[in-house]
Amino acid sequence: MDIPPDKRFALLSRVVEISNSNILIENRLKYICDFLSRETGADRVCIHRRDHRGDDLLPWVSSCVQIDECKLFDFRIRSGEGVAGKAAQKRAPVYYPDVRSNPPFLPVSQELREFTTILSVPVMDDVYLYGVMNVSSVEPAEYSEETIQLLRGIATEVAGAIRNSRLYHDARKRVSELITLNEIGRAITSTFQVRDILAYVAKTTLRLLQADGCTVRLVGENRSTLKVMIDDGYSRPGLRRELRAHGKLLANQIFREKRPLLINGPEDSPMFVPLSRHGITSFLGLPIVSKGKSLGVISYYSGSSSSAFDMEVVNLMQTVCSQLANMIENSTMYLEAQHLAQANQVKVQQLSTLYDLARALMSTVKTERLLHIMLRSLTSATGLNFSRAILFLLSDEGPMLTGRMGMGPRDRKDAKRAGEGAAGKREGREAGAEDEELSGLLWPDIARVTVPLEGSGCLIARAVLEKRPVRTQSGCGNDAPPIQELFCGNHPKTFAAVPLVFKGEARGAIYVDNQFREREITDEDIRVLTMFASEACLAMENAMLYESLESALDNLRATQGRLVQSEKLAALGEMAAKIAHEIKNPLTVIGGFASRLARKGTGEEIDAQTSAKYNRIILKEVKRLERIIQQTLYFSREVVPALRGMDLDDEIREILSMFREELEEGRIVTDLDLSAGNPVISADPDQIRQVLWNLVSNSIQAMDSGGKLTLATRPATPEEGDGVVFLIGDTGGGIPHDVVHNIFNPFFTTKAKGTGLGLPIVHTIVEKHGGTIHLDNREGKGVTFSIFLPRVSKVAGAGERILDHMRKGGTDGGGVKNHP
Amino acid sequence: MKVLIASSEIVPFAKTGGLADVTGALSRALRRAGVEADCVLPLYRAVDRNRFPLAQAGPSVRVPLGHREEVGTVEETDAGGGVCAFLVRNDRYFDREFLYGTKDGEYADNCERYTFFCRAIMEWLGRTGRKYDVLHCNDWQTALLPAYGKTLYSHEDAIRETGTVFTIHNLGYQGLFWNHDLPLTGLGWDLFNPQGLEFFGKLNLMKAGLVFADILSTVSPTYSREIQTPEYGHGLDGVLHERREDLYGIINGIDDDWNPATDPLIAARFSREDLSGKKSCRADLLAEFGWTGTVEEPVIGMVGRLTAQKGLDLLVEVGEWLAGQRLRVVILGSGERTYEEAMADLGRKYPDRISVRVAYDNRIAHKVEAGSDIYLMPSRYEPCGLNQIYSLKYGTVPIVRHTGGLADTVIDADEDPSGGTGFKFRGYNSAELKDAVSRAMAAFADRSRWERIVNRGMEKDFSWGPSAREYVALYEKALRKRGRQA
Repeated sequence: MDIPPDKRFALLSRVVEISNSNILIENRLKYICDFLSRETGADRVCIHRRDHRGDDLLPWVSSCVQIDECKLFDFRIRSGEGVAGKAAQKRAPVYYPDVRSNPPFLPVSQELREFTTILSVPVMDDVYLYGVMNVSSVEPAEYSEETIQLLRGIATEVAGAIRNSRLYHDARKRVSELITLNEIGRAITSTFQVRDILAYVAKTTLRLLQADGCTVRLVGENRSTLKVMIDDGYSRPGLRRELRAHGKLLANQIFREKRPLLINGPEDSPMFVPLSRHGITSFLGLPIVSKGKSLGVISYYSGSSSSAFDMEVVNLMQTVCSQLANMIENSTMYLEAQHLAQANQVKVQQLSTLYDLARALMSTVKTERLLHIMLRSLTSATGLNFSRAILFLLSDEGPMLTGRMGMGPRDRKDAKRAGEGAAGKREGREAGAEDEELSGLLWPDIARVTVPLEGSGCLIARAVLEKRPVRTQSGCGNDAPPIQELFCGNHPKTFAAVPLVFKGEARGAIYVDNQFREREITDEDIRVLTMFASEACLAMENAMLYESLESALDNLRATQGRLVQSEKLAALGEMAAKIAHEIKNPLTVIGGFASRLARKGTGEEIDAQTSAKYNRIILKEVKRLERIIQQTLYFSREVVPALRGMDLDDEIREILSMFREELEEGRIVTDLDLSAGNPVISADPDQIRQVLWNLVSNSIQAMDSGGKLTLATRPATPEEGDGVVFLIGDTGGGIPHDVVHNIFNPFFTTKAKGTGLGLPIVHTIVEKHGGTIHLDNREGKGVTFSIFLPRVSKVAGAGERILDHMRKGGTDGGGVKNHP
Repeated sequence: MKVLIASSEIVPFAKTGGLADVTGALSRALRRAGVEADCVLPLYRAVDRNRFPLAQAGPSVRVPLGHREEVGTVEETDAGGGVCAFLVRNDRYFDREFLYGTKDGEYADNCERYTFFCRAIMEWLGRTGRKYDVLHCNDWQTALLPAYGKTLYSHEDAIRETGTVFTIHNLGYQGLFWNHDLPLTGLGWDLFNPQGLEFFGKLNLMKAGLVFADILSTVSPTYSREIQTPEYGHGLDGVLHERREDLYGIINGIDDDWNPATDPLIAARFSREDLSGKKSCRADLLAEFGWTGTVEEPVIGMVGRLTAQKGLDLLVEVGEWLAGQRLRVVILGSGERTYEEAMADLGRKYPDRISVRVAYDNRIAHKVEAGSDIYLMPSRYEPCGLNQIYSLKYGTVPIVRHTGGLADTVIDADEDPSGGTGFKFRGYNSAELKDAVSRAMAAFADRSRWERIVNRGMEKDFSWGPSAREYVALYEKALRKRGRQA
């Protein structure tokens, strides 16, 4: 059994060679066992490995059996037991030359078998025991100290190989875990779909950890109970069901404690025993915690000893869980934001539909057209998109609702046509055709539908009575349609009605349904419908207001017409009275002197001189009469200026000579300032003379206690235009400021004897000549009229309009208002 | 049609078993059939760089492997017969003495090595834009290719329309790895389930091929049916049964190297027409195995890996019985130590009856095939088997178990007296094996009958031509699955 010294080096070098080769560790150990068995002549060389969970020794590789057959030798040697256990305990070789006669203290039969001599060498480095190598032989064998030392060296070499292999193994495992962790991280950040991610994480980690089952629980809406989100694995039938109750208990504990729970034995948790009854030998549960708040729990179950979970797995999974926690938080926030955005969008959509509809409703004030638009808004696909809509209004004849207008398909054929119409509309058909289509969907006989408000049980009536929307999915409850088969008993089970409330008073209702369509009437529909109804009420109110306003205006117009007529007559009467008054004095004078002249031959003869004087007075009075008549006539016919070249200065001198007598009588001095450079203007001399006459006459009348009359002319400045300006000023105290704006109105006068036509005529004539009048009124001092006349008179317009008005008797307010 | 054959070993570059022969010969046979076939394999240390001068094909490729990146290049060389061979180079992974591991065990990083190999091919195809109509993958080492084509590289122009064929040469080797090797592959954990790459908690690379390839094939029709049963399915019978519509079986052809009329490794050339050379070969074989003098009794030959799959446990059982029969047994092979030792023991115990050479030796293998009278192949399972075909060609009557390719290539001379080419037994037990050997010995005693059996066997055409044509039909199926016309 001893190894001769000359072979020891070769043997050791071969072992070193094998233990450092790149093949699998079991293969290397197997080779070493085989090799040692051959070289030492031992019947069996077997390496036991130390159980990773304790000090027990398990057979690993052996010289007599194939590697995979070694698993069949399923026995444990506890520390201190047998030969190997003793070597493990002592950390030193143990040599039993004859186990039959001198067995170890605690023999292990599987170790002893038929062997006589057993040498156990611990496989260890300076720190750790990896296992024990047993060299056993059937025949008694002896080992020298040198051989034992050699075997010890070999065992140390083996320990090194195992350590390296484990390091390599661990490194690969770590890399594998890191790659997987990285992948999970990437997956987690790639989406906000929590369930997808949980499923992915469960699936991936289940396989990474070689677990038999994985369950993910998340906390529910109420933040207190856990809900199973994902189950993965559990390939054994019934396993998932069996573990459900235990899993729930454990999950709740982990959720509460917010600490991972690792159960690998009864010492870890009392739950180990019940779990092991279902074949589960290892459990790991981890809380998903975000900002100190538990969001859920992940649990893993394993039933095979080779994939028991350990602290490394706990650390690894904690990383995954914290990533998951962030993801779930983010997802919740994202979903909330999305929800808000969606709700907003719906709101905006509804508001914009309502806005469009409101605009459509406000586009007309004609009731019939408005109702049309209302029903179209209710039934159009771009509007509220109901199938049919009927408008009911309170009847004038009693407490009942009457169908006012109805729109929508009456039967399936209509529905089909309407659908096609809607489709056609999108392709841009002509509006006329569309209207035709719509009028085809109007219900001509809707006025026949009446519903008594009280006692009919009709839901539409109820909407009106209770002033609130009514919706049903089970019909109106009126089984036997007693009244009209046109509508009642002829509508779908699902419909809605909203009241039309005007100023707090329900005056009708809108009925809608989705006949011939697969669409429900939602709460949202009712909300929008209610908003629409109030818009519609406003529009209808507007339309009614407009209609009443229009009829009021018609009345007013008629009244006004009558009023103007009577005012015209009154004005005429007044004028007649004024004229009569005006005429009366001269006529009296003429009459008086004429009768004195007629006394000739009656004895009271008058002399020739007196007679001439009388004749002169009579002539003067006649002239006055003529002037009055002329002025009066001015308003009864069109006077078109007969333009001629004329010298304004000549006309002024002429007028002054005509008034010499009155000026002297009135002690009025005259200041005449005529410019030499005045151009000849184109004007009607008669009318200009009348202007001068009226103005001078007014001035003289204003200065009844003397004063100064100023008359001046000058060529117009370029700003004023090409023409002449003449001024007529007095010192008659001016016009009171409260009447100054009236002075150009006909019949306005402050004088007892005036017709009130003088200044209006002046104004008219000047305007007709294309000139302007400027008034410089200084109250308490006097008035100066400055009048511009163009060199070439333009045909004027404004004045004509005034005259026109006056001739027709004035239909505008001005005529009425300005009448004193 | 352009086809790229991917394999972990291809003759004449690197070989540990039949896979290399098949992929090497198939690519040349496809060329002869008018298919533009190229092949790709890792650049191992074993590749003879003097014989095959390498030139870098395209830029180097960066291959993501888990959390890091490995750089590799693809070298190009002429494989002969018009076939272009691409060799994926990364010396860290492939510049090793062995292909998969030492005789004591597999390299610990095999998953990483072949993941790199597959992904480097995909990266390289993508980088260079080389388009192949079909990617023909073989065994677990290249099984990730179909998975990559349908997942990570499904958007690459060069790959999107490429059909994939996955051939199972031996279902016993599935590329089983630790689950923590999954991230290395770059495939997500969502594929790690029983419908995907998971196999009882482990990563099973072969499943990547079984699940993702457009068309599956194995190397004989019988084997393609057998693997759908629990007995032969190695745990994958479910997946295979699910894909039975796409699963085909094509018998391997044999290389031109194996032709008694031209074989330079045997003592004398012979043919069906002139069998005289076989006598010299027989004498040469007996001498090689240490026997001199006249030997009347039948010589049973056996070449191959000494493993349970090849029926060695059965052979151990009947060893004593065989030694007691009037025959000679020559065994050439290496494999599991227990069988090596058991066979060596037999040889030592019965030196007059049984001679064993524990070795792998191509030259002696030819001698055994040429010089034996009977060839024994009691395989537990045999996807295709080549030696029974060599035997038929070399006038050596095979005794085989009725399984896999053995069942498809050998006709029992007692069941079909006019067409029989060998002897078969069904049950995997020593009684039936003994019975078959006895029947063969009886037939051997009847010279004329024996000659007819030999003659019929030598008549059969096992060249690569018909097999290559069948593969072309599979490629066309794969293309149709991709919605393309062949």
